[in-house]
Amino acid sequence: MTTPKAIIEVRDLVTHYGTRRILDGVSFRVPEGQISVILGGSGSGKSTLLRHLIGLQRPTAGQILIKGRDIARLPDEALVEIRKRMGVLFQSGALFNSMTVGENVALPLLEHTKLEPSTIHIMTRIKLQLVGLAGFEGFMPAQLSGGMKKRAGLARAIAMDPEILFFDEPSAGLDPVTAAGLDELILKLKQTFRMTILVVTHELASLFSIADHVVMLMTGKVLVEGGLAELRASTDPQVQDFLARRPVPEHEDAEAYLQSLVGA
Amino acid sequence: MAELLARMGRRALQARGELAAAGNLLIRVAARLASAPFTAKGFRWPETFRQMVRIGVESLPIVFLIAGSVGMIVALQAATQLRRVGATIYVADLVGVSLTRELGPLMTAIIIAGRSGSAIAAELGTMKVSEEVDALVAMGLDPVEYLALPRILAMAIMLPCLTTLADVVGILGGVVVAWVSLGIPVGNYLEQTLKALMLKDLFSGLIKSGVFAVIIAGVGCYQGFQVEGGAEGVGRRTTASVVASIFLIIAADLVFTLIFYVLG
Repeated sequence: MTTPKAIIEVRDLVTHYGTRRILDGVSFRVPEGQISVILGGSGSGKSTLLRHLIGLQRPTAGQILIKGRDIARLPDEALVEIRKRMGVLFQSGALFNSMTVGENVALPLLEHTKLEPSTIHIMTRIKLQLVGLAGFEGFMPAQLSGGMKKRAGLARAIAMDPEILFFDEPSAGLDPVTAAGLDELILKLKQTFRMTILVVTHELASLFSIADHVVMLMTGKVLVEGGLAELRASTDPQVQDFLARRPVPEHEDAEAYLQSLVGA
Repeated sequence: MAELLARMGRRALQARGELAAAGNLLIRVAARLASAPFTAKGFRWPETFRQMVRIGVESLPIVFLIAGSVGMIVALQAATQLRRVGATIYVADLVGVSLTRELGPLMTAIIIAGRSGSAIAAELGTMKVSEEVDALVAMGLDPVEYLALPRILAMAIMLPCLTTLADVVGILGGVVVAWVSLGIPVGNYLEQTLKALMLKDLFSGLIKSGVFAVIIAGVGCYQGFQVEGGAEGVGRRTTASVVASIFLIIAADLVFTLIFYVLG
């Protein structure tokens, strides 16, 4: 099977938050038309990585190549064109609370295209139907459940038919059934629209149902990169602990424990 | 003692940094304002009108109440002194000139800073915390153009209007006091007021309120965009925006008073 070309390539990315180093020389590829999952525990740097990939923050060092262009070096105005071809679903949906669901989804179309309002209305309904929210155009975000907010946010993210879709912890706060429904939707988007999808998550269930390509992060470094088979076959104990949901063992040395309590 | 000075020094440096950043925001707003006639969305009149209603129309009751009360207070204080020299008709002059030149713009600005300035900071701060501002950026929109510009423009249009209305209502307060407590007929009072008022009094008052408007909305937007840390952060920055606005309003007023004094 031919390896699809990399639509996103990250090279030696180093990022800081103040003086603290978050990502320490991260490099990986995101294959076109496939679902890539960035896996990692809390504090691994995966959310920071996502923010850098969508250009919300600029790195200290390294390159982020999207379709061959280094977005870390581009000025803000040039990023606008790239952003029109990308969609992002933030963790809580990030719907604009002062607008209805329909107005939220229509916003990118209103701002970036010269389409007629009636056309935009139809496109809005199509997108909402795709995510299973047909008929909810008139609802305000406050009236929606968590799962529905994410779906509405997703409808907005795909309003402009993006080439690359980013998900920030899509299963966070969702019950297993709703989360599985969202996974189904992600797979449908890949199959029907040939979108490149990048999901940041720590949920194993989602990982195994959707991932084609995995990048596992731990404390700012890449532990493993490859397909699911390579991930499972990794001999790194941290990877195995993560996949087996094995907690880090607590203190077994009484002396060391006492010292840590007393503050020596 | 040294510790106290060090703390004051640090605070001063921090304040200077914030002032520079806020100034930066205003420069970006000015740039957007200048390029607005050439962009598709222009001045975003629908959103600007909505803000004008919230800032201006909805503030009328409180502005009228306070302006009327202050007009009456000034008239009563003036009357007490002028009665001694039997020149109570000059109450009209005093109320008219002090309101149009000084009290009208200052008082209205402080009321609006507390009411609308804090609302702007709270609304934008809440949007920042729920990733709505990030969502705008990820969509290829500029938060300065989309959120800040309509609010600052609306404030710059509405505050001078509110100030003028406050002046009128304040003078009417003086009319009531003069008629009830001094027995001065309404017609005489108003004629005297008009004789005393010069066009430059009104103009200087309006110029001041234009500057105050930019301060209030600019500080509100700046503080809102700087929020981090959830509800507590929103509260902190909202308070800071009111305090900073009032301080800067009074500082600007001092500068204006000196300038107008020198120019005669």
